[in-house]
Amino acid sequence: MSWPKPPAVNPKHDQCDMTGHPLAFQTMSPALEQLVRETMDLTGAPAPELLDDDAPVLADSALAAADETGFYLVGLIGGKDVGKSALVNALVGKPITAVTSHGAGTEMVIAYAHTSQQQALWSLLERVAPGHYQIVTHDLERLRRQVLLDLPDIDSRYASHLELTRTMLRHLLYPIWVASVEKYADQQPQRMLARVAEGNTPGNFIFCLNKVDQLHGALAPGRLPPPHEDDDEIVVAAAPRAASTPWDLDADDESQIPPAIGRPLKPARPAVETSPLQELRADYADRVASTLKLSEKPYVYLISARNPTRFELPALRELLSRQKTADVVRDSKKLAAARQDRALLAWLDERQLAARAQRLSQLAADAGELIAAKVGGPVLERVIPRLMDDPATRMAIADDILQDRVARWPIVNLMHTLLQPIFVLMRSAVSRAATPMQGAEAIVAAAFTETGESASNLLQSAFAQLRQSQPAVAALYPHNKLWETMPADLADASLRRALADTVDRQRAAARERFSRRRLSLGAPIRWLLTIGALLWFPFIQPILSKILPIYDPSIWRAWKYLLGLAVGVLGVDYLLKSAGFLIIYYAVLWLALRWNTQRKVSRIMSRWRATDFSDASLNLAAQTLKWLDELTGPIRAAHDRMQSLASRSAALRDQLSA
Amino acid sequence: MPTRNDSIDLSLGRLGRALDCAAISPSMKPAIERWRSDAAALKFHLRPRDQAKPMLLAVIGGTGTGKSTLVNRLLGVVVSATNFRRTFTSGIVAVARDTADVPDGWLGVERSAVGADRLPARGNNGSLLIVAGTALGVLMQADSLLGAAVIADTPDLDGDQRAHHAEADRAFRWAQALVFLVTPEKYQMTELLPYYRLAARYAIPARFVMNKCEEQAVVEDYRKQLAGYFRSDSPQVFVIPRDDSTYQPPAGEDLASLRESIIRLSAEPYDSAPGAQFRAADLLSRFKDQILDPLRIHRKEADRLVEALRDMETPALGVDVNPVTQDLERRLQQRSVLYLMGPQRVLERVRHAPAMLVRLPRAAWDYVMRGEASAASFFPGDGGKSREVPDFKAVLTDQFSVLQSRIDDVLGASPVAQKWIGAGDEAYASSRIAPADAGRIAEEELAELRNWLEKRWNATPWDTRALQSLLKYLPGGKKLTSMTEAAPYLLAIGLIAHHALFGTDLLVLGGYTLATWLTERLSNEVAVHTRTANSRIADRFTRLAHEQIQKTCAWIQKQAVSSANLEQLDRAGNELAKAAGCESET
Repeated sequence: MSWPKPPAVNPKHDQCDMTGHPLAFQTMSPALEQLVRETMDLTGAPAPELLDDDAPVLADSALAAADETGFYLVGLIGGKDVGKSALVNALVGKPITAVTSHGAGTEMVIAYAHTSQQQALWSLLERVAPGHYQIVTHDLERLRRQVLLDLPDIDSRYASHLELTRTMLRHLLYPIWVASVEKYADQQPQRMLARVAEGNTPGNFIFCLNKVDQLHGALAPGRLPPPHEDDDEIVVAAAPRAASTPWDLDADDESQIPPAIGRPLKPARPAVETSPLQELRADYADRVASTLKLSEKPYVYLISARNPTRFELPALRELLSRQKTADVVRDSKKLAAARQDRALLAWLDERQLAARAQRLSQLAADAGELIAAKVGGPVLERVIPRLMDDPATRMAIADDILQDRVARWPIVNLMHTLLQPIFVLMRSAVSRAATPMQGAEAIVAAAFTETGESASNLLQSAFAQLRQSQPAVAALYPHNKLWETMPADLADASLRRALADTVDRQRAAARERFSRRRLSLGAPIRWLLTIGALLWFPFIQPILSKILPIYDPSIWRAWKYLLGLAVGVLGVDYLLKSAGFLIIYYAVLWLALRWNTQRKVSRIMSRWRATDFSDASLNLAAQTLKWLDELTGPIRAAHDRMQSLASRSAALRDQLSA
Repeated sequence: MPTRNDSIDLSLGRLGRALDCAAISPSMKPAIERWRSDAAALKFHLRPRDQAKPMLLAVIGGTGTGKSTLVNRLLGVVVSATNFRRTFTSGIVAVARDTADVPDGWLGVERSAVGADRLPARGNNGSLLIVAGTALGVLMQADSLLGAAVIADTPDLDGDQRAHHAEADRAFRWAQALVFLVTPEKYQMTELLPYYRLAARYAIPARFVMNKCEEQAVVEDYRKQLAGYFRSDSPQVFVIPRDDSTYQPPAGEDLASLRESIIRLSAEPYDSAPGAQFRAADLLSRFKDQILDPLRIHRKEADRLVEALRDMETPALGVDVNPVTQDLERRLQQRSVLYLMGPQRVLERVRHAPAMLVRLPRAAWDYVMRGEASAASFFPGDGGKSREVPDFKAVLTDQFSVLQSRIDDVLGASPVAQKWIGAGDEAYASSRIAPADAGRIAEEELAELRNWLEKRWNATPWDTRALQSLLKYLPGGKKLTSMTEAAPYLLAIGLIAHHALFGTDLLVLGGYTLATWLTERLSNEVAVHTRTANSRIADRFTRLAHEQIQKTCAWIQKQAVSSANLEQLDRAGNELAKAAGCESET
């Protein structure tokens, strides 16, 4: 017999959809995984088991949408010697795998696949289980895409068996959980089931309880069971035809399958519900349901691999004897992917992001209040007014402006330079803290020392109190521990710098405002008032005043008189007298300039002090508030991140449930 | 001469007492409880078995292997409840000829006898059910078997009920002989492997039974597996065939032979010494790994924490009560002769002069524009002098919270300390002093200070009083006192005109100035009182801070076992090691 040549199969079977076709659905939405990783980052929670590299959950590649010809895997999972191989043989109808009663048993993956899938299957198995597989091919068209796997046990002392089965579970879409009458309560298969269920929907699972024929022996010790042929005792309820399990979708839309399950099964009779078999089925189903946290008990097939025609094995075989349509497989994958998403969402729910965000916002509000009261209060009520009231601040601004203004007055600037030292001396008496010649930093520092406040101390105590009432704060300030001396000092310095910068900006703004004004009229007036006065008072005025009343036609006499007058004007006596006058004149001019400047500065400062002053960069209070705001920044940032995580997870949940 | 078992017993008792003495934090309780129960089992095994009494035999195996069924079949009576549902037996059921055959305190759990009316028994988790043979009605085979052994049915080892495993483990630890029960499905299960290893190590006489067997090959495979653990070429495996199987076990390996074998086993002389030695060694290594080492780590951590806390500095207080006393100081100054006599007054006036000059135009402007002139516009510096009194209570409370949060930081950095705090011990909360206590210091001191201030408010300074009392005896003394107030001005005039009038040297004037200034300074009782109040507050705060640190240290010390106790435990452990003959391992 010649095997038909398999159609050209893409060896990279499980990737072909990623390149060729658009994905029919998303596997473990990357957004969700990203969200989980961010949550781990933020909360420090350990990663969900689902994301472990070797977790026995369906891999993304196994969940990628398959094309019409791609295969899907059905495999038997169960403990040692529960009869997996016997069941495979019974399902297939011929011995394809060795049935053992002792020793290591099945040690490799036995795959029963259509010849056309050989190539693709080979490439998968060679990748995940190199050297530990065997492919048995068949020619049944109705099972073209279904691959049945016999797998090693999951509970014996052979660690390699468990390893191999775990690996295969990453690719196995439809696991059949096989338990025996003796072993159905073991903990190891149940643990495995719980982990697999994180990444696959229970709807894709089939549960069977093998060796139910042994129950007779247990019921009647020491007696051989009655012949089996027509045993009406063993009547089992009809297998469920719930459309929710993808297994049954086939039966629904194709009429070849009889709606009732296999021949030996009789419709359930209420009386037999109490029979030991039913009790056993219920017990196993209960345990599975509690392991999987299902509200509804899953259906358990009661079978005996040794008696292929009895119990519910025919029904099971019926179920597995026809491959699922591509749509059904896609649905199953979609459900499995949704289940993975749900598992991740459940993990996210356990993190309680919304509640955390709520707590953080409460914390941010509390912290803001506390800091405003304990730090903001003293700084805003005492330090800032002090800084604004300090004559040194005003003088520093006025001095700068005066300097600029005076520089434009020719003689007055000489007066200014000469008189400066005297004024500096006087000023040092006015403000005890700082002389106005000092920089903005010194003035700010003086305001702090004057009021006896220290932002560093205030911060330390405020944050210490905050930390004690809200221990979560400690984690939010991992590097910038404001309850410790050094970080608090740094924050203090930043406040001082901000205030000093503001003071500097104020100076610059005032200067900008008052000294850059260049009226075209100003210069002639200034020259008239200074140089003009210098010429007028000592020279022009006396000469003119002497000349004008005299009217003498004799030019010679006039010249002589004028000469005498010039000699008089240039005499020491006269010059001293007019110099004294000019000094007083210029001093008055200078004082007038000073006074004018001071007045302007006072006015602009009172405007700055108003809280509704539009330009925040010039407002000391606004700067302080900004600094206070930055102190609670980490809490608000954490809250924002948590909030965004919470809203994203809520959005994803909506999206998934839609 | 004491036997080895006696010396093990002795040192075990000593170790137990040392553990009793050591104050151990609640976080270690579970590990210690487990260890104690195993130690009790060891103690039981140290006593030589009374050959006249039946031995204590436990049936161990996985769920569904038929432990209860085997017990029933051995006895020929249905004693232990069996069911096709799994994990049915939930507690140990011991079948004895007489209740007295089960020694007191066996298994270290409470026991209760079961009457015939409540049979078959399923067992209660966490307690021992004893079925007396007398209640069963005496049967031939059961009588001989029960005379040889008390047979204990145990819950499963591998099911989905965790509590069952603990029960089975307990039965294993206390049993004098074992029956390992497997089936073809379960003989390769992993849960039994550690028990094979331990049974071989402790030399517990064991019998192996394969239930539900259908072919000899499985038995051979099991035997091969067992040979790896028990260093015997072919350990005997008794076989019970499956009920519906045609397979018959070879002669000498069936149920009847098992019964005989058990009876024979009980008659065999049994030396518990070598097994006890290994039990002691295992117990010791558990003690070291799970109790002593963690305790040592705790001790080290506690020492480190205490060291760190002791090194911690008290936060700087920066409390100055000067603002409170300032008013009084100024008032008393005005009344002090020395102040009035000294140059301080003049210097202060002079110091104000430039500021007044600077302010003059503005004051004049204010007067013209607003028609009012006040002293405040002349003395701008005065506003700062009468600065408000800070809230000392808040300052102290805050500083104390700063200290506490520093302590928290130190503790928070240590995972061990976090575990101690997390153990739900109220002691930690009570070791913290409320920060309000620190605030109370300020309150008390300030109240005292204010009291004093009130009393002094109308008093005359003591220097003035002393001068006045001196001058009282001079004629015109009162006048002289009031005249002294003019002294500084006179001095200033004298200074200007000293050449013309007196020809006095400048040095004399300087000396006078210095002398009055110094005496005024030194005699200023307010300043002195302020200084003492400041230092008293600082002292009390520091003391309170130290008390807090001490309390925390004491709490830490209480969490970790003291080094003396550790030493004691270590010594007791070594003694036990010597007694068990495993010093080389340690």
